[in-house]
Amino acid sequence: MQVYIRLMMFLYLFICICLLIFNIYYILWLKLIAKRRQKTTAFWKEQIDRQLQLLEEGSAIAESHKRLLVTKLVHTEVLIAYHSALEPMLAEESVQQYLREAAREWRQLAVLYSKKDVTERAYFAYVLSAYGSALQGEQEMLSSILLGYFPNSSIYCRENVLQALYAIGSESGVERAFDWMYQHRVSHPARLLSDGLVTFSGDRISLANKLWKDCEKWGEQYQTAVIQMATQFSDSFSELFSKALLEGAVGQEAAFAILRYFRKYPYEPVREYLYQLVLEESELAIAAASALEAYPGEQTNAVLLKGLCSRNWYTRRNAAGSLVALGITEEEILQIDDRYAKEMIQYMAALKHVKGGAGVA
Amino acid sequence: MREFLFVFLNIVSVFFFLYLALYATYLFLAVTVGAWNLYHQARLRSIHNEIKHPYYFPVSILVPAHNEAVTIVDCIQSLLDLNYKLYEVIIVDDGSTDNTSQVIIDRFQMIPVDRPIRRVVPCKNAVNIYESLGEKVKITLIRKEQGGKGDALNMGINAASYPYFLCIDADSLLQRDSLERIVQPAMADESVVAVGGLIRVAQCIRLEDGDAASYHLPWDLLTSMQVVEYDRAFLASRILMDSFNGNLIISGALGLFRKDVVIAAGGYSRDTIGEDMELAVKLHSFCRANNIPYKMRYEPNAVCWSQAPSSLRDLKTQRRRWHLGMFQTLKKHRHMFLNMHYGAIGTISYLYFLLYELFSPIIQVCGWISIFLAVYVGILNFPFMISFYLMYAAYGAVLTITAFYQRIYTQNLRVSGGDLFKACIVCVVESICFRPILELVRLSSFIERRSDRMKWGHIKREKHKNL
Repeated sequence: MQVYIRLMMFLYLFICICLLIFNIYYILWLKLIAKRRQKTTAFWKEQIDRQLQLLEEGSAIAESHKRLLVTKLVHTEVLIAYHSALEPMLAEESVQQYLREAAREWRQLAVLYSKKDVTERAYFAYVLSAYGSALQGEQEMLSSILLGYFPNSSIYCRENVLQALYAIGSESGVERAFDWMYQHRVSHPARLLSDGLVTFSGDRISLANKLWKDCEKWGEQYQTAVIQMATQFSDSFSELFSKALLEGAVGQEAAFAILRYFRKYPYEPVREYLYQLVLEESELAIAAASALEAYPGEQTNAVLLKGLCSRNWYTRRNAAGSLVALGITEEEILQIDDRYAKEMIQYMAALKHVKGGAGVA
Repeated sequence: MREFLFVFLNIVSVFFFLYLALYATYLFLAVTVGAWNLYHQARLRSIHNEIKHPYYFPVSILVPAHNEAVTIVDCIQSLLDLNYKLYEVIIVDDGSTDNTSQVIIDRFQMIPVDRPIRRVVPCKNAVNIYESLGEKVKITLIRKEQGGKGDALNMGINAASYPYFLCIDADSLLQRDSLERIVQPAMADESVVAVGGLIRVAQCIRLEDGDAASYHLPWDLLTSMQVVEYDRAFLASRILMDSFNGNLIISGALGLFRKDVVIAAGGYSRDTIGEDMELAVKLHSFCRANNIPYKMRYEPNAVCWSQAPSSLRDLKTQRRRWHLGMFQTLKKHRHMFLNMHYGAIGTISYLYFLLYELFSPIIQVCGWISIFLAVYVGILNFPFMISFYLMYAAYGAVLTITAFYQRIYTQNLRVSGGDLFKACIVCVVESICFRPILELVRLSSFIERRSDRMKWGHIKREKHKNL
């Protein structure tokens, strides 16, 4: 047995030392890579500057430079260096023009990268998302190629592709991407979807309308994302959303999102429905109590005072917040019999006072 | 009698061979998987294969504190330096007898409020509540009756406004990007209910505005040995167990949790010393029992710098509490042991903690008794025993050095040549001297296990700038 033990220990020791050597090698290799990348970045900076000079003189960028882009940037390590050189100048109009002129080459690169490993595809999509606004002329072709990155992809790859689609402003690209994820039962976090949609560089209202039509098929996750996107920038969906809400055509999460929409963009036709939700202590009462802040009126105050005595703690809290925002008076607070309700509204009033508001009237 | 002893010692030697072979294999697998995983993650990050987002979900940061007047302000300041947009800080002062609350009130100009708090998990009563709105994020201070760390954390959960909460120790500092890093796994996968971070020793680091300004290995041998021990422990077991969703510990010094799931599971245990481990095990148990798809992840890039005890006495206090906590947790959730319903958690994870963590001091004592018996019977091979021990210590030391080097490059830390040399020496000393001492400490926790139930451990703290 002694021989076996010794053998095993020596074997493990040997592998551990290999591991240690690998670590040391990797630390040194990282240093080497950093130096090499610095050199390559400087090379590309010089190349790009030269092309920008040509553009300034009124000429087009050199064909040899375009060829260089395709032959060199197909290597991820070179692309990293190229992006490091270009990134600080992206806001300049001349750089945008430079990218526009090389749009065909970026399309070729997109095809070449589609054959690469998922991590490299993800990186290429990330780079495209940074250059997107300059490549809008190629949006249809690029979006079709980028959709080819989806099979066997990771969440990082999908997210970077979506970011690139938002950046190049391709409505049909986004629509097809969502449909692909739905068809292939790939779940993408709702928050990433909604926050990503807000960055869409094309016509956001048109995109939201298109997506909303398909959302019924895709499900609540997408519905919620579109509602949250619309909440960021437009009040033109009130009729559409109120119809969906009143007809019960949306799930709970989406309904909450719609109520938040109506808090930001008050819409008179839903006022009665909001009252009803609070009075019936529905599951949506929490959001309804909050939304009523945007619907001043005597009846609103009466409904919120009822909501203040709700069994649901969050409804009480939101009703108190709304009442304070609507300017409930100190006398009205003193008339409240429910101890918990009174404590809640007094706290909300004090909080508003501390934040710099008037507190209670 | 002699023949019986002979047979008995042979059986013991087979047991110890299997025990050590399994442990060596486990350590080897753990470090290899850990090293590969960190290498792979560093590579992915370098080519933007990560979820980067301007607004992640909002998080409530809970800081339970008991007599932490020395470190609490530094801790809160590090939380205010985080590069995160949506969060709040809730400090729960669990009946401190020093001026913990007063230093917070003075430093952050907090004002008393009558805030109603909804009790969703049990905890003792609040005495006063203060809030500060003048900082980057809302800070709430809750002074409450003393009930222990689990009780304080439950109060924090009750007061938390956001769907996720992060707990950290009051003597710890968070790196600027730690919160962002720790939420990334939960952002990428909605079935993630808890994420643990990496704990490192604060005596090594100087943070400036939340970024690591310099790193060095302390001269104090006891602290240095804890540095390399933490590096090995977090590299070795956490990443391997993470690969099969089998982590039984999410450290109380840095853990992110989904609030609704923790509330549904009943919150933190108030009658266990190791409330952090108990919660992690309880979440496994709860989610599996209720068929909730879940994941508990470990994120090695979310770093929390926590003060390590600098005296043997404090170290003893700390480790005894950890060991007792583990004992209580494993005992409380013994139904998981070898239960097929719990899969690899009930077998691999539980068995590892039982054999190589909880019972390891007892097994070591049995080993010493066997050696004496073998000497008595006259069958002990001294040269083999010594060479085996040295080889085993060397094996442990090489693994530790590997873990130390790994941490350097994955976190882009600059370490001097002198520190690298010092680390090699410390790894060897840690392997030969520190571990046997720790085993003795852990053994003592079995003997004195009744005495410090429900108390906060008292460890001498220093202001971070004085470390």
